[in-house]
Amino acid sequence: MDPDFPSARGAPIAKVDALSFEYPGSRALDAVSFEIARGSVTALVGPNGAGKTTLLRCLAGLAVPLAGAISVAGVDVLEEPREAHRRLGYLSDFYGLYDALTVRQCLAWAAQAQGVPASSVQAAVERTAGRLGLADRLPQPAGALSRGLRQRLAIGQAIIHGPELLLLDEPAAGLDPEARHALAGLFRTLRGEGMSLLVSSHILAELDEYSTHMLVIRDGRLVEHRALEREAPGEAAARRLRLRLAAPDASLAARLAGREGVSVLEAGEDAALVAFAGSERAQAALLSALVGEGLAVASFAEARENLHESYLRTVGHAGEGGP
Amino acid sequence: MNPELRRNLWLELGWHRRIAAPAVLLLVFGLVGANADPGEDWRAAVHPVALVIAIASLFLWGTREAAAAVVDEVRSRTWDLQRLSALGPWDMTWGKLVGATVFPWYVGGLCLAVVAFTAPAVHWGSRSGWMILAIVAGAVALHGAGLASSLLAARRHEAAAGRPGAMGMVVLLLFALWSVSVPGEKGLHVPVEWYGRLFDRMGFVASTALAFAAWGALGAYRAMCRELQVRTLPWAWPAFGIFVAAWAAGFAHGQTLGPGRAFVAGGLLATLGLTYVALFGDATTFSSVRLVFTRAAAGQWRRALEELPLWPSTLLAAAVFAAAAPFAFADVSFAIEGLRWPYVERVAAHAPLALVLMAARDCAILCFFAFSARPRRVEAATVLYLVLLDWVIPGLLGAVGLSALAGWVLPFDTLDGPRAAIVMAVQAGLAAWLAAWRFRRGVHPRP
Repeated sequence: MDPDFPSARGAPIAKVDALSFEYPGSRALDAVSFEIARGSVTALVGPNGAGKTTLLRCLAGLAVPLAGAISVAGVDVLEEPREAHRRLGYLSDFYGLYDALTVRQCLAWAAQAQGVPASSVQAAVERTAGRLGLADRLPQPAGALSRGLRQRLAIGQAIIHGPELLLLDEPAAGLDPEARHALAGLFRTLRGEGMSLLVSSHILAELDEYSTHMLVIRDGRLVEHRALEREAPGEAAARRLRLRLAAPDASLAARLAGREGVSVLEAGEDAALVAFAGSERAQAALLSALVGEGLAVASFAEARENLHESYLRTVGHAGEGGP
Repeated sequence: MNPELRRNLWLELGWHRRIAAPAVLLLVFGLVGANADPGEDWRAAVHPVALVIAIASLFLWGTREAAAAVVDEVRSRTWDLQRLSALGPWDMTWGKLVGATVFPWYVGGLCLAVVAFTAPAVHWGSRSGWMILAIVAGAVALHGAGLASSLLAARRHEAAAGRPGAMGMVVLLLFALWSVSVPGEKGLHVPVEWYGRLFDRMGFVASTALAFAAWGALGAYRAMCRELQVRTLPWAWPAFGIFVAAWAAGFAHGQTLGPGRAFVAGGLLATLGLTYVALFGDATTFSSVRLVFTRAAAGQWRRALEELPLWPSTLLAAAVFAAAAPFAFADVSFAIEGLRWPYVERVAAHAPLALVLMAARDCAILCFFAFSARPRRVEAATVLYLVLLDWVIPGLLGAVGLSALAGWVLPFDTLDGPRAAIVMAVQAGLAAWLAAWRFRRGVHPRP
């Protein structure tokens, strides 16, 4: 990535401000505002028709919103869409490839079209093909590739210029489990290299593997945008721990209450969920104390809420709040 | 090298085609030359065949390829990939203009080389340089128009709409070239009179083709700008109408009408014609019009103009010509002799405001259908209603002896200019009210 980009390292990679998009009689996006942190992988989730694809197309400069502002890496997408395209990559849900071109030609064309200098095109092609496991497919026509490999090639075309932000609309649709796993690994690698990703998908289990943030939209409105628990700033201070007993104990809640750093969230006779503010050493000491008091502890481990649970909790709250 | 051109070279000009095309042409020309009449120079026999193949390759095949350049991308879902590239609109335009048509240019270029080589054997060979220039420029004009129509079709998400538009341009250019040509080889030596000056005929045709080539390339560039979200002000489309009027008016010198009046009448007709071309060729949607009003409401007038569909600009230009018409034709009797299209030009001179209002009515009718919550076959529905209003209903009323009533539907034959304008103003107002009503229904209640 170009270190001379005006955006500072700590600044958000994308800013969306009061974005609205309308179809006749319906508002696909209604004053949506959010920021995407650099180096994050944001899961864009919501029911069908929520406005996810419209949002991604607006971010990519492919659709003109009715109102609002969008910037990617400090570039105003609506004012300078061509410049913004140098900073972002986009994989649409129904992507196309030039089937008659070879993999090498597809990648070389994408690199040149995205402004990679002619002297660097060859290296960019080799690097991207290697990263995506397409190095031995370079002479093959794109039309001869399997669906999984076509998906990789399409992603290769989107990232060959080293974008700072990668937008992906249902990237795993139609892929077999093995290809999905490989895709998740690729996204983790890209994030590790400093790229930020915004991924729309219906397959929440797959998003859960690599997402750091969740952005929920429903009926064109932003319902929630937050860091997922494992990434939350207060992680070290408060973790959710689940305690399970091999034998029920009616005094479990009372035994947990009042201990230093422990807040009981849920408690029954044979299990409890607590928020624990302390180090792993303190956690070990707590476990030791509980066992020492005669509790038959079967397990005492971190209770991570997965993306699916988090999404359902979020939309559940949104539903309770009414439209 | 321009990446878009390179991609097309990979796709369209593989080694097989590079070898096969000259081989086949060599075979054809060899056969024609070998079968030349005894005593006839073989070059004289080959010359017209090469000319016909060059014209067919560049004018028909090349235009077809240019018109398919973007709609094929839309169909194969690669157009978004192209729109996401960092290429500027001009790079994308000329890359596609040359790249999509590279094989027809290859074949046509080979044929034009043969035309140049065999020209000394035909007695009008001294004009072949102008002719080749005219063919090349005409091809660029048509390819530009083809690419522009393909881009407009992409905006309308109609994968097949570009080709008929481009073929229409082929017919238009052939008609324009025919209108300044004189039948027979001797005709090539007859000069053209334009604005009272005499010009070499082939030189004039080549110059005209060059001018249209510039307009074709500009049109493709402007259409590309819109597709790539590079905003532009809407001056080019009406400027093209004014150019066509000025070009055509040059031929009226020395005739009864004269260049000045011909410019006003021609400008009115050209801008109205372009209004209809844009109305049915460009995308007028609820969203695009909503954007215009939103920008205007926010006081962003330049942005509002940049978001305008194409047709309002030429409709406005037509209104300006209509306003000038009463002054231009103040001292002219409508029984002018020697006009080429008496009815059309008489209407343009007699009821210019009514003509503009009729176009405004038709635009409003199309908007009414386009603003539907689920617009389908907008153009077809509009054409149906226009046929009813302008042909079926007046025809039926006339057939049952109610010609006076028919005049209140289509007033040009029966009412004078002011009354025709009033009738058309009422119709346009009604259509505009309906379009506005449907537009307001589509606006979401939330602020």
